[in-house]
Amino acid sequence: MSEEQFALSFALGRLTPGTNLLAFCTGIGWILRRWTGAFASLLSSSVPCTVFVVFITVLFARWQENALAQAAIKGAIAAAVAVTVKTVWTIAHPHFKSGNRGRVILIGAAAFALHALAGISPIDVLLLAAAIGFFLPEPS
Amino acid sequence: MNIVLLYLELLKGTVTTFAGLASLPVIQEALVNHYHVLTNEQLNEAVVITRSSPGPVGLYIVSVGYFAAGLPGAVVGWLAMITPALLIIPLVHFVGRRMEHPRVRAVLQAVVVASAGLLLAAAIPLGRDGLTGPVTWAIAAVCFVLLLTTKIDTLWMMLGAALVSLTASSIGLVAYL
Repeated sequence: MSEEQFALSFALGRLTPGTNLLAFCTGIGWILRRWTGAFASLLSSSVPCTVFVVFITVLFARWQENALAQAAIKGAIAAAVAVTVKTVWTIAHPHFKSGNRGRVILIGAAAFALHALAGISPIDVLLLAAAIGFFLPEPS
Repeated sequence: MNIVLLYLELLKGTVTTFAGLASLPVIQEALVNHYHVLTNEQLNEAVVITRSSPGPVGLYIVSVGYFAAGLPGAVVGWLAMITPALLIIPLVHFVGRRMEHPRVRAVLQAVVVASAGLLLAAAIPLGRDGLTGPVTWAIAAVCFVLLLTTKIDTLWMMLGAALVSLTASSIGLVAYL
């Protein structure tokens, strides 16, 4: 495939809902072999890691009665909370550019407040954000 | 919970967001708050599992499915994870470069930033359930600083946190976890 096709798949993968990596691989498969390639890429990029995660999840579920395992899991969960909060920044910071920071803070804070304080469902908040994005494009 | 309904609820999370954990608030709202087939603790565990294993972060949906409905739940979790990826086919085929249109980009940017705000809101109940004593608070604070300032892989961070917690437990500090 050409560099342009690769770049196109990468860019559109970032703009496709869900897991970007899977969309990127599917896009490459589609460009190379249409439906066969798309499904082969999607399956090969998702099945092995899924099997591994299921295996670990089964172990986690069985460790519920083990005191030592529970103590270790409690520590790992505390780290997971930190990872979740850090992910907020990971998601937002590519858009946190000069001239656009006020808009990013406003939308992010409004989404937080609408869900955490006003109890509005995440889907409604996301639809509202899409409407704001449509009617109030970012400054060029 | 009906397996088709579980798939649709998980899909609602994955198809409306643009990054792995960004779907967490939607999943939390549906499965924890509405249907009560999942706890915040299990949601935290799903994040732990995903960050401790190879593959994309969005895989946490598979663990969520398993916790909610066993192996069939894991399968629908996998399906909900891969379904949105197929949307790239019409995008590559029909849209291509038009995705660079300023208005389209503005919509996507607003949704992505809003999903970050929602994720912060979702972290509150996760923290309430996961951070139950000074040791776990300290672990979370140290991990957060390390995540911001270093490039240490989260796998090692999880293992280190587990080790600290295990040590605290074995020296009689269980009450402080």
